[in-house]
Amino acid sequence: MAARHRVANSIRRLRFDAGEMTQKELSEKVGVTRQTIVAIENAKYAPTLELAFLIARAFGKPLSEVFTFEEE
Amino acid sequence: MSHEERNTLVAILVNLSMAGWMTWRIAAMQGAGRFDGPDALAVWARTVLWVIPVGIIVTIAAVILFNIVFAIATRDENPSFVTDERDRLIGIQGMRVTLVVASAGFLGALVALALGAGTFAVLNAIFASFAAGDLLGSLAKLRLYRRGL
Repeated sequence: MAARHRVANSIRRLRFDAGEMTQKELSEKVGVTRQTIVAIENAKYAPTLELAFLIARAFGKPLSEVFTFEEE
Repeated sequence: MSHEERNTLVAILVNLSMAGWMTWRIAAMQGAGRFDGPDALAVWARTVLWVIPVGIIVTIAAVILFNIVFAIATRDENPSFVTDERDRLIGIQGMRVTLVVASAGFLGALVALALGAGTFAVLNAIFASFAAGDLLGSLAKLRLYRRGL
């Protein structure tokens, strides 16, 4: 049976490192709702590749530093 | 609460109000014998047909009103009206629920018709299944907004 996976992320830490950037500020930078950022941070929603790249770009980090693919 | 989530909540309230009102109106008309004549189906169709534009107008008015009240209640001077990929995905899931329920209702109505049910009852069942499909689709969307995809 194939193992279950999930997309984890470091957005909360990266927001803190970016001078306590708020979820609203990040959402405005990448053009989504604040609720979508909340859902991604809480791993309740896996973003599309395009949005994942936009979030990584907002922090000036490579995608692999923002999102990781983990086994549950 | 995002813009689309607010719209979903309003859609549920409007759907329940309209369905309740239509049920009362159809029952009252039936009680008054309005569907007893030879033009019963035409009377029924005229009654139901105008529910569509009224429903659209009521929904638009309710969305505008709810957004104003929400902005005042949350003291948000710049409310967001952004619709994003998550909204679209949730919308598709809700539409799927709507289609399944409405299709099942339509199929059930056809089976009832084949088994000898009256045309009037079958038309009401089809109308009710579309209303139920819309309601359950909106409820499914609200659940996805609250609990995650």
